[in-house]
Amino acid sequence: MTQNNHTVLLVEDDHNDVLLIKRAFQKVKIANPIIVLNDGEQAISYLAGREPYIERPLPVLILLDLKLPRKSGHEVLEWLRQQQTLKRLPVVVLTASSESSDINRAYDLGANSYLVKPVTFGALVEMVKTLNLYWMILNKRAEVTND
Amino acid sequence: MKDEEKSKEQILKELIDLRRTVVADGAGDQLKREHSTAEEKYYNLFQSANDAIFIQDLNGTIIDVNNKLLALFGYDRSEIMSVRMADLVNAAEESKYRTALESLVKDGATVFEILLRRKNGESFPAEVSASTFPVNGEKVVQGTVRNISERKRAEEEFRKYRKHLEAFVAQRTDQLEAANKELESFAYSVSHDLRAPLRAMEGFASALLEDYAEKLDETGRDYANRVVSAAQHMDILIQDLLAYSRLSRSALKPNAVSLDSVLGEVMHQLSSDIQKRDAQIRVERPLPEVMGDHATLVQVLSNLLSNAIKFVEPGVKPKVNIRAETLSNKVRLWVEDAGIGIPPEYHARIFRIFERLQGMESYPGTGVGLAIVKKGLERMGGIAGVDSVPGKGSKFWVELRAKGF
Repeated sequence: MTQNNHTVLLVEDDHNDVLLIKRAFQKVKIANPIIVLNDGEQAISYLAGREPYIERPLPVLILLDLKLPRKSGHEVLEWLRQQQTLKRLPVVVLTASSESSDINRAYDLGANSYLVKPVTFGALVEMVKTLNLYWMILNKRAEVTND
Repeated sequence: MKDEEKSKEQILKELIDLRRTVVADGAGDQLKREHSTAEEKYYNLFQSANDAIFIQDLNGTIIDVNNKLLALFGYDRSEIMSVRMADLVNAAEESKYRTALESLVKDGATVFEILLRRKNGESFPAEVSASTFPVNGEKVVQGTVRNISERKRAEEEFRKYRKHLEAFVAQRTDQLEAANKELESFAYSVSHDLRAPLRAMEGFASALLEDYAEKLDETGRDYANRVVSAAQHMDILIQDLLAYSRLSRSALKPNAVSLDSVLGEVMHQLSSDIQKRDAQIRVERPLPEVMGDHATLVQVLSNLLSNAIKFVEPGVKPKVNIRAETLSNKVRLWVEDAGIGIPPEYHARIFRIFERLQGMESYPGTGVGLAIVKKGLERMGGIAGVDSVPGKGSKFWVELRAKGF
C-alpha cells in the first residue's frame, strides 16, 4: 500500500453521477486521481486490501453514496469505523437522500460530513470546489496504515 | 288474632309448619283444603307471582316452591319435595352455590348469578335473589329465580360484536400503518431515485452548453437551455412535494412557539430574495406566542412571505406588512402585501395543491406553497385564509391557538 497519496475513493453506483462528479473534478482542476467503486462490498474489499485490491492506494478521502447495491453506504461506514486505523479515514456522505433518518444514522455511524447531491451541475461544481479546499487542502490528515 | 291481621311472616311460618306436616304425612292433596282464608290469599299470591319462588331451609331442603318454579325446572309438584336445592344447580357451579349460601347466612340477603339445572339435565343461567328470615327460632330462606338466558345471550352478542369491532379497528389500524409506511418509502424513493435522472438531464445538458456550444446553433442552445430549466423546475417540484408529504405524515405536538423567532428565521432564509427584489418588510413587533410547531410554522411563513414578495407587478418593489391580532384565545397573523391581488372566485382554490393562477413565464412556481400552508395549519389545529382585491394586494392570514390555550 502507498502512503501519503492523494487518491479520492468514490463509492457510487449511478454511472451518470460518476461521470458528472468526475467532470466537476476536472472543472475545478483537481489533480487527485479518482477511484470509482460501484457497490458497498467492493468498497469494503478495497479498503481491507483484499483481492483484487491488494496493491490499492489508501484514499485521502472517501465520497460515499448511501443507496448502493450489495452493501449500503451505512453498512460500509459501520464496518470502516470498526477497523483499527482505517477508521481514521475521512468519509463524506454524498447522496440524494435528505431524509433526516438517513442523515442521523450516517452521523451516528461516524460520517465526517453529509452532502446532498445537487440537481444543477453548477451547484455540484461549487460543492466539489469546497470539498477540495476543505478536505484536500486545509484538513490535517491522520496517520492511516493497514490494520 | 283474626286471619286478616296476621303478618306475612306469620302466614309464611304457618305455611311452612303446615307444609312440613304435610310433607311428613305424605298427604299433599290435603293441603289446600286446610288453608285458612288469609293463607289461601297468600298462597294464591305466591303461586301467581311472575317470578319462580322457592323456600328452603339452611340445609338445602326444599320447603315449598311455586308453580312458576316447577315450570321453570320441569318438575311435577309431587317430585319436587324429594329434590334438594343442590340438585337444581349445575354440577360445575356447586361451590359457587355453597359460597352464596354462606354469604346469605352471614348477611341475611344476597343476589348472585349461577347456572341452574332442569330436570332434563339442561342448564340455564339464572339470577337468584334470596333472603333469610327466622321461623320458630330457625332461619329459612326465601328466594326468587329469574331465567336470564335472554340477557346472557344479548350480553354475549354484545361481547362478540365488540370483539369483532375491536378486531376490525385493529385491522384497519394495521392497514393504515402499512399504508403510511408504504407512503414513507414511496416518498423516500421519490427523493432518491426520481432525482437521479434529473441530475443527469441537467448535468449533461449543461455539459452540452459548455463543451459544445460552438457546435450548436441558437435553436440548439435554446433546446439545451430548456432541458436545463425543465430539470431544475422538476427538482423544485419534487422538493415541494416531499415537503408537503412530510408534513402530512409527521406527527406534530403543538407547543408554545414565538412568532417573532419564527419570523426571524424566515427573514434569514429569504434574505437574498428580499435583497434582490429590494422588498420592504414591516413587522409590527412584538408578535405573540402561539401553540404550534416551530419547523412547520417556518415552512408556512416562508411560503406566505415569498409569495408576498413574488406576486407584484413587474418593476414594482414589494411592500409587506406583518402583524398579529389576538382574538380571545386565538391569534391571527396577517401577511399583507400590495401586490397584484387575487380575484375572489379563486380565494378557496389557490390553497389546493398544484393550483396556479399565473403563467410560468411571469411568476414561476410549483403550486405547492399554499397547499403546504393549509396542510401545515391543519396539522397544528389552525386555519388559513385570504382577503384580497385584484390590484390592491392580498392579506393572507393564519389562525392558531394563543399560548396557553
